[in-house]
Amino acid sequence: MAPNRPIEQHSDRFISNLTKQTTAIILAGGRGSRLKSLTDWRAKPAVQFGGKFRIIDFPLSNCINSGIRRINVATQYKAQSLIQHIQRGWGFLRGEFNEYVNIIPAQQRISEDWYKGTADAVFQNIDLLREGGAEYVLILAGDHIYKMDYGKMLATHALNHADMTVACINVPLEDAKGFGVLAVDNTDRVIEFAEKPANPKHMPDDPTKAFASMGIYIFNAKFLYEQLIRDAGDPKSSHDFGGDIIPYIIKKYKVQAHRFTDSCVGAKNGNHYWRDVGTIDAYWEANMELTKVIPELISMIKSGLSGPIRSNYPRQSLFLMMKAEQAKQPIHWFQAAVLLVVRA
Amino acid sequence: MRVHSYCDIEASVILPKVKVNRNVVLKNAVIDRGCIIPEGMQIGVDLALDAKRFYVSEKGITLVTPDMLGQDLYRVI
Repeated sequence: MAPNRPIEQHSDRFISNLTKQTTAIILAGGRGSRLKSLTDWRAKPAVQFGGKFRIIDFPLSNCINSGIRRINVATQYKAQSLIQHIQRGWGFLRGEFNEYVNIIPAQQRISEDWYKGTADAVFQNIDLLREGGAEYVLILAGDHIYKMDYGKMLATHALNHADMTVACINVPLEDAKGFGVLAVDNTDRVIEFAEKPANPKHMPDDPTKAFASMGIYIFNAKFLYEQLIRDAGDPKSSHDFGGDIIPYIIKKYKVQAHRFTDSCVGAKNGNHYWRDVGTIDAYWEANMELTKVIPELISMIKSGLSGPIRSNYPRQSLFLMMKAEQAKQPIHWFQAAVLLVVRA
Repeated sequence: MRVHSYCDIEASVILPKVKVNRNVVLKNAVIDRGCIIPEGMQIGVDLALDAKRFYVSEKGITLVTPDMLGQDLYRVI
């Protein structure tokens, strides 16, 4: 089911052609209940992070920097804060050039149901994707902090003639129990997928680590529509990509794994920054990491993080931290906390 | 966000539109948007007390929301 056209070299031009033919859809409807009361009145992707940002700014920024400028954001749970943020902060794309950030709330378009699962959220909007005429659809989770070049993932997808590609990170074997874990052969083709397995399979080249799904998928558009329509007609399905679609298609079609280590932007000393800020502890810790003299995320920001254009406050605070670092002065916790604080 | 005089704030994540009144101590806390921290309140000092009035995580991070402070920022009825 690979698109029927000659594969050029793996050059920048090749990648920019791929990204131009891609539409992204960010699934931002989840509550993130492990964040407790912080998500009582907003969806997890709308939670503030590191000064002026919200969690969803990271996948949005990644899309823009990867050259993907047709972006849909599917919202459901308590979306008001999220919608407001996207309207105010991400309204700079040009409709005249067919660039957009579209908000698609659950609106009972097909039946009386809201979005029943991740796959159903895309299924209910197939017509919007079809109308966009994309060749590839990039499906993203709206709730992780990382910087990634989706263009490289698209190249993996196209060069391997895959029907679907899943991005994955390396996690220690014992931590893998909380993720969707992929087993791959020596060409990184996915041969097995297990959601939160008791005994996760290890990576082919490292027995202490496992491949965990990041919830980032690339599909050939037509293949995606076929699979979604098939899945929607299955009464036993829970309409979830990880739970239903992937386990079904790996047996019959070509599903490729893409390593985050190949497409992480601004990685330093082998550290590939990726944080799931799903719990209060992880959220606090990831914020506190930004107060280090040289936070890991700073290399990302220096290498061009697009963001909403409302204030320059965090850049300023990061700049102050860099200056302090140059002067070899330690930063006091209090200073750091204040620097992190969002200006009201 | 505004911090008044004589406060001691340490390792805390404070979201927008928060007002911290005088003599407040904040340690290892996450303060939700729009909270008004009353004068002299100590958060993150006595975790047993915090667990009764706020949410305290496994690793001892205190989460404070306007609702927990009895402030009706989000209340409809």
